[in-house]
Amino acid sequence: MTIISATTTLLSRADGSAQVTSSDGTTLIASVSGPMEVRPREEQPLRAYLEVLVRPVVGVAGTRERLLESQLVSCLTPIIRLESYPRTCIQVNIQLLTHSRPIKTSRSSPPPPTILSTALNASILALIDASTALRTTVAATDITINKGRHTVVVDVFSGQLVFVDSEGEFTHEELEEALERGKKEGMVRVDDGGDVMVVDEGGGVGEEIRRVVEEKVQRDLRWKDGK
Amino acid sequence: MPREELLSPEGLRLDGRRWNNLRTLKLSLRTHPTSSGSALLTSGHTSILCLIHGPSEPSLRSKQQHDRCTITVDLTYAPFSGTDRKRRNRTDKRISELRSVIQRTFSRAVMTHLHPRSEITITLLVLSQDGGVLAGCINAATLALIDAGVPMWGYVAAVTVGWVPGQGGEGEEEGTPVLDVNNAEEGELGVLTLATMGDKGRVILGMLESRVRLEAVEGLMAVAVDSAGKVKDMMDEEVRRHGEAIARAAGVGS
Amino acid sequence: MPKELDPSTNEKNFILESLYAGERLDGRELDAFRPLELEFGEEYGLADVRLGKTRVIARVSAQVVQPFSDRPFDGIFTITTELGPMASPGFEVGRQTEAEVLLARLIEKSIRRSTALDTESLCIVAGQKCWQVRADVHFLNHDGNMVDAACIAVVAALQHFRRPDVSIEGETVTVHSMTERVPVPLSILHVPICEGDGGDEANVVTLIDATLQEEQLRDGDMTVTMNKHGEVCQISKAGGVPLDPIAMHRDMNLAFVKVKEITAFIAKRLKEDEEKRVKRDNLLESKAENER
Repeated sequence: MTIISATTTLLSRADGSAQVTSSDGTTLIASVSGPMEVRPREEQPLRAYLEVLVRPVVGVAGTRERLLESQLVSCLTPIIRLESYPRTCIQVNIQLLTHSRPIKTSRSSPPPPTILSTALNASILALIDASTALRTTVAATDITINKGRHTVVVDVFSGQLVFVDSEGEFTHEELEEALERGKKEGMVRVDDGGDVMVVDEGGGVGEEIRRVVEEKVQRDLRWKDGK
Repeated sequence: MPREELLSPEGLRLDGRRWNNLRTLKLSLRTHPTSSGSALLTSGHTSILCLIHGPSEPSLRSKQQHDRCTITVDLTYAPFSGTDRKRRNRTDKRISELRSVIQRTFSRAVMTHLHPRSEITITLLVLSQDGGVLAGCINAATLALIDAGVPMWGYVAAVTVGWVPGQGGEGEEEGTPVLDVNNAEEGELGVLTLATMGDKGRVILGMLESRVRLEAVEGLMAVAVDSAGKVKDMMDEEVRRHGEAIARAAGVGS
Repeated sequence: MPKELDPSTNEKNFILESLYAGERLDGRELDAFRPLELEFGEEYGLADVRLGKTRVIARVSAQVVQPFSDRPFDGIFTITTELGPMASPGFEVGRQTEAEVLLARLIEKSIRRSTALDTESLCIVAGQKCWQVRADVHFLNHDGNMVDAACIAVVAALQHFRRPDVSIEGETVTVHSMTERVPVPLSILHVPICEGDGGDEANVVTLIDATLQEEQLRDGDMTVTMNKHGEVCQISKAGGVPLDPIAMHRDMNLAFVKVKEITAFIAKRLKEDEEKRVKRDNLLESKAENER
């Protein structure tokens, strides 16, 4: 799975936003608002309340969206520095635009791709766009091996596993392989000193996220060039 | 329903009225003295009761506005108001739209700045419906607010006008407006509900829900503004009569 | 959730005084629309409308259902609108505010009640099977005039949508997949377009296509829905500054001009999209031939 296109800062009313199209045919918009006022019921004295809302393109949100919301919350909670914004709310909104679900033809074919990886990559871009304090950057990849499909989320710098969600039939070895491939896809290349190497072509999802962020920073800092 | 049935070749409507006849409009003030102000309006078979409470302390703190009073509208259709007995859901989108239309109209018509941090509740009960409910509600609310002694910028007077399209024949008129529609006409025709405020015929409310040609709208509006003026005069007459009756009872005036 | 902030006193005075002088903050004429952009998705029935910073997406979809028992010959057409916190942090999830009800009713009256979509053509087998067409409206960014943007999006998406073809043999109904048979466009009877007007304070200034700030400061508003044949589908002016009927009629005539412009714009974009699709399909075909 790769990111085909990604744009940031497209909604004026949100603090940060990103639209991402993945190679599996999913297009969605993520927006981030916050830190902002929190409902008294959800106020936490030492950290921000993280709220993730997912809306489908047709109909109203149901169980599928609720599952996605809870998965995203568990992915993002360790990434965002919530303790930097006590008594506030950080809201991540995901609006699905297109989602092609291929019809399952036979029992042996792997389950259809989920939206989780695209939603997570878009959320990360939107959070960066909103200048939310993050511990690190993560990248999500969908990996299909035989009848199993795995969504692997890794830290782009250290390659540490953040989250994995697997579906279908798979062996322990296949899962190991998926994790290994996810790590390779998600990580950015670093030189010996630990600095990120600039690579223009190729690379996995991690590299693509890095490129999008780099473009965004260049655009944001255009004023410094004095042109 | 074909046009001939709604408007006969002689120009008579289903209930025998001509195009420019209003139905009998009966207005009475202070029908329910326990409220701050009340009015009962009967227009043909449409019957609406309006009660005013306030200005008083807002029921919710969120309704308090520091520089003006809040107008709250409560609109209920009695289950027996239509031909079929039917209990309407309070969250009905149509009713909540009507409610907010009335609320927005009177928020403008009442001198809200004179009663800051207060609330005026307009309770409307539709006892019987036979077309022109919104117009009836507006008129009843105006009278009840006057009875309650709430200062307003002017009379808000509403009417409905329907448009009977022509057959499109050679040399024939494009259509005819019909004033003050009843239920049967309301279901078939494009109906404009229009309310004016004050003497100058300025439009404070205009609602049209069906397709009508742009040229026809001009005619509809002209008829509606003119008739709203007449309704205003009838309301004024009733208010003066009511006022005089009170003055007589108190032993003042003529 | 945070409340929508009202403009400050300075902002308010500045905007109002400029308006009285005939100037708008974004340099538009009083009767000018913001730049309108319309894009269609890969799939049929997805329209993405941008009106200045306001952005709305409409998605039309169809499925076969049983018709309502009291209307056996009619298909079903529903419009769902939900203002989510993405459009503005002030909108809360799950709770319908009054503004939301009014907006939903306005869109519904403009498109559904004016019978823009011929629901009779959606009937497959009377009383048993019909198409249910639904339009989901998603508000992405709220910078005023959501009604117009939503109406344009729904109307464009309806015209862009193709439903799968069906064939009936006795009692059995076959729904053909998109690739099997050329999908059929919906029959649209007329194209309603809304026009939001905002009036401002004592000596009335009339604006078309108000931004959020202008909407917050306005003293009244009127929405007129019309189609290009000069038929008024809906007028809605609830309260607000009392207007002279002659001025109202002048505004409607102005709205008619804009409606014709917008309808032509949608038609142009639909044609461009169609051409793009044909070109791409031809390219795919020729590629396939070459490979053979």
